[in-house]
Formats: sequence, structure tokens, C-alpha cells
Amino acid sequence: MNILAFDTTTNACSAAVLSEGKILAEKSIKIRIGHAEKLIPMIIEVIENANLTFKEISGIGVTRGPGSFAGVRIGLATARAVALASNKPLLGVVSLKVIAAGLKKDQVENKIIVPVMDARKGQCYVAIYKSNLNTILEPFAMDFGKTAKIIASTRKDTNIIVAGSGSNQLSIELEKYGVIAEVPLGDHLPRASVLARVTCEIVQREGWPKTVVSPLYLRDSGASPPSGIFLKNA
Amino acid sequence: MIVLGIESSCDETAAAVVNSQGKILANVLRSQITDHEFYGGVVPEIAARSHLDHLDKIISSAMKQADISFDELDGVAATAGPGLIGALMVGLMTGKAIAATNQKPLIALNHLEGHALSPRLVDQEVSFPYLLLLVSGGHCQLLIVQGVGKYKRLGTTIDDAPGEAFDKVSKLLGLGYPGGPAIEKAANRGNPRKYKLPRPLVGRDGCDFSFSGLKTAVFHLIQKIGDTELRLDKQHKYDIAASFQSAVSEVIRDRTESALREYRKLNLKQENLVVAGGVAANSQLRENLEDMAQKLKIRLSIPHPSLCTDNGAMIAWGGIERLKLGLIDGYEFAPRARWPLDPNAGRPPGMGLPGKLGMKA
Ligand SMILES: Nc1ncnc2c1ncn2[C@@H]1O[C@H](COP(=O)(O)OP(=O)(O)OP(=O)(O)O)[C@@H](O)[C@H]1O
Repeated sequence: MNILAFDTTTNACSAAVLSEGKILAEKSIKIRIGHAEKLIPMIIEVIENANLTFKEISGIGVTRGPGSFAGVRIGLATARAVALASNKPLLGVVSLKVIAAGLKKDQVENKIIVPVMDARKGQCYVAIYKSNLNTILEPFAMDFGKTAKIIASTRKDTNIIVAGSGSNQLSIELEKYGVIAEVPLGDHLPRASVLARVTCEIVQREGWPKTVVSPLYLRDSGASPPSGIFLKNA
Repeated sequence: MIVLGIESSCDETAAAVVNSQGKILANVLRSQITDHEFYGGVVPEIAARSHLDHLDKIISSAMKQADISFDELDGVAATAGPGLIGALMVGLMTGKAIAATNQKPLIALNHLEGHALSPRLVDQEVSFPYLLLLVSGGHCQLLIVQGVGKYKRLGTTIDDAPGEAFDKVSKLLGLGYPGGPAIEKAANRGNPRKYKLPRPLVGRDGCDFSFSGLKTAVFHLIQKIGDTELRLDKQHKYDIAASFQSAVSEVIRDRTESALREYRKLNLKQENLVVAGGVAANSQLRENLEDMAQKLKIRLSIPHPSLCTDNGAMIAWGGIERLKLGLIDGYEFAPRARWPLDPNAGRPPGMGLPGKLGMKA
């Protein structure tokens, strides 16, 4: 099985090819903007470096969010189009799960994993996983303070590891509730090679999904109701 | 030669398959009107989300209708600007991905070039250089189209675009969104001579347009009627709509005549005036321009209304025109919110700080 995986949900852009359990090629860069320019050449490059063609790809793994709205759409629009144009299956994975899966096995043993992204406006995108990546709490968007309160009230006696762009802020909030969380060094951005492995595991367990992969924004569009002069039937 | 065209610059999600003989093999479109209706205008984030939700299905049904496979395409054209950046990104990434997957050339098309070349899709006689009147929701320009990718701007609006004016006046009258078709329908039952509205810039030198004074005049008119007669009834609305519509169409005709005088200085053997953009769907404007063309003896070409408003076929056709000339783009092409057809045209006189239009046109 050859899996093409890519991610553009955060301040990174990466693509990878996994074949029979081995990463054959990976490309990853840190960028704040410009994913729309980089992604396709990067995908072409990893497929070439893996000595494969688009036709030989068995399926695609993509992060479906949360993350920047534009980033989520760049990845998903690309993934859904590649899937359509090559008639291949597509699996969407939660970006926070990919962050969690990027931590080393011995790092997470006997702990709960809290991947957390800074979502601005004082909020974070966060989820909670067991060390085997089973979901304890599905992804949600919430104030850092409230998030810490929820974690502290339910998980006081468990060891917690927090990773991602919101990890420092969340750990400070957790301390206010007397919870000391481990914050490993590094960026802990989602990575396509990790995504490819997660995709492979899920597909081996459950097969490729038949349904459309939809984006996970965790926030509404922020549109406000109309204002100004309206002449209804005056 | 067969090209798939993808359009997602604003509030229409569209895909079409067109061949080099100008045959439209499929033309599928989903309007987002209902998604934005409540807000009284297009909300960029909602537009982007909606494009992503629907585009792949729309492309898939266009391909089925055309009864061809992705392998059989000669190229993929996608709108790359100008427009809403988040919306453009969805269509452009989709186009790039389809092209890359099948090793096909990509054409990252200027949406305005799609409008500008669309008359050649239906009327093979339209030859370069022709005079183009482009009137839409975001644009209002008179250009000489010298060839593919070669445009000389003669005039533009110094404030609003006409489609925008239709939309705003419709909102003022409570007639709904989008304004163009709503005003047109109301105007059919009204008296265009009932109210005197200004004709900005008419009779002046040059080919620039202005519509904001007209919109303000309608606003004051509505207030006045409200004050003196206490209520704005249906007939008032119809008469205002009709008076407004005829003012817009007279302004556009006058400015076009002015541009025609410029164009005729080229002394061409074959002269062509073409009209494109959503507002060209307006039947009163069409009649007015047809009358002008007859009197001034100029060959006029206006595509069917369905090809005037945003659609995928004009993008596919623009792609074919470029592909024929070997003008293709790299997969790293970045979407552009702002992308003028004539990069040498400066800001029109009187144009203030960059507003909605300054950003786009
Ligand atoms: N019958 C009509 N009469 C007048 N205006 C119309 C009519 N039909 C559509 N319009 C106007 O045309 C505009 C939509 O045009 P179009 O789809 O070409 O452009 P757009 O996407 O808004 O702008 P652009 O193409 O410049 O980016 C709207 O403002 C609409 O009100």
C-alpha cells in the first residue's frame, strides 16, 4: 500500500509518501503563509523521490483541521481533487491527533496527551487522547482558562503531556489549578510522515472510508447579521 | 482541444468543459445566493467554505455530462484572481491538483480575461482588436482587447461598479439579493420617467464611469417619498427601480459611445463592440446598446445572459485561448485578490482611498 499524505493546517507545509510501512520520501517546511504556492510542487517532489507515480498511489491521507481556515481548505481542496482526478480513496485525520501521534512512545507512556493549538482571541483548539491515541475528548475550541479548568477537574491525578503551539499558555493555566503538565521541547507541528503512519493504521484497521471528507473548523464563519437601513414593506 | 474550467472567485461555484471549436460540452453551476441571502451580501468566509463543500461534486458532474475522463483533457483552467482570496484558493488548488495528478498543463486565468474573451466563445467572428465593455458586480471598464493577455484600458468607474449599484439600490428598496435580476423584474412594472435621477459623467470627455451619486440620489428619493407620502408602496418601488435602471443604462451607453470614438481612431477594417459581465444580462441595457450599435453602425456581440454572469465555460474558453498560444502557468501560481487586466492603467482621476474597487480593479 502506497499512501500519499500532506498537511497545511498550521505554520508548516509537509508532504510524504509511505510504502509498506516505510516513509519513502518526506518534505517539510515551516511557513506562515504561502501554502497554496508550495503544496503541489512538494507533492510532486515526494512522489518522484519515492520513485512512484500518481497512478501508483493507493490512497491519500489529509489533515481535516482544526487549524487556520485557509490552511484547512488548501489541504482539503487539494486532497479531494487528487482523489477525484485519480479515483483514489481519501481519509481525513484530525490535525491534533497527528500532533499527538508525533510524540515518542516512551514520552507518552502512562500519560494522557493534550495536543493544543493557539487559536488566537484567547482561545485554543484542543483534544485529549490516551497514550494509544484513543480519543478521550473530541476536538473543541475554547478559552485557555476554561480548557485548563476542564482538564484539571477531570484529570487531576493523571500525568499530562501538552504539545503544540498553545502548550505554554495552557500549561500556565493548568498550573493555576495545581496541575503540572509536561511540555516537551520543540514546535510539535503536524507532520505529513506522522499523518501517513496514522492513515495507514486506521486504514488497516477500518478500511478506507466511503464518505466525503469534510473540514473541521471548530468555529463558525464569524459573519454577523445584517445591519443598516432596510426598507421592508414600509 | 478540450479544457476543464473552474470558477470560484466570488459566490458562484462552477465547472465547465469546452472544446476549441467553442462547443460547451458541460456547464455546471451552483449559486451561493441562499448561503449569503441573510447577510445582504457575500460573506467571504462563508463563500470559501461553500466552494470547498461543493466544488468536487460540481466538477465530477461536469465531467460526467461531457462524458470524458480526466486523462482526455488537454488542460485545466482555474480562476486565479481577482476576487475573494479564500474563495479563489479553493478553485485554484482544485485545478492545480487535477492538472498535476494527470500531468496536464495548468492555466491560472484572470477572471476578467474570462469575461473579456467570452464573446469569442459564442461568436467566432469577433476578431482582435475589439472594444470591450465589461460591466459586473465588481467591475466597470471599457478596454481595447488587442489580443490574449493584451489590454488597453480606456476608462473605469471612479466609485462603484454598476452591479454593486444594482445590489445596493435593491437593498434600499427591500427587493432582495442579488439586486440585478430583482431590480429588472420590478422595473418591468414601473415607469422609467417617473423620477428624475442624475446621469453622472454623461456628456463629459473620457470614458470613466460613476454610479455612487445615482445610488445616493435613490436613497434621498426614498426618504423624500417616505416623508411626504408616509409609505413606500409597491408602485413607488417599481417606478424607482425603472427610473434607476434607465439611468444606469443611459450612463453606460453614453460612456460606451465615448469609447467607441476612441476605438474608431484605430481605423480598423472590421470593428467589433463586445459586452460582458453580469450586468450585461440586463435586458434594458442590451436593448439600449443594440439601438446604439444600429445607429452608429458597429457590430455588437453580447453573449447569452447565462454566459454574462460568472460561469465555468468562460474560464475554460479563456484556458483554450491561452493554451493555443502556449501560455501556461506553473503549479506554484499564487491566487491574486487584485489583478488588473491592464497593469499600465493608473488610478482614474477622482478615485479616493482604495475601497472595495481599489482592491480589485
Ligand atoms: N439582469 C441583471 N440586470 C442588472 N444587473 C444584473 C443582472 N443580472 C445580474 N446582475 C448583476 O451582476 C452582478 C454579478 O455579475 P458577475 O457574476 O459577472 O460578477 P461578480 O462576480 O459580482 O463580479 P466580477 O465578475 O467583477 O468579479 C451582480 O451585481 C448582479 O446584481
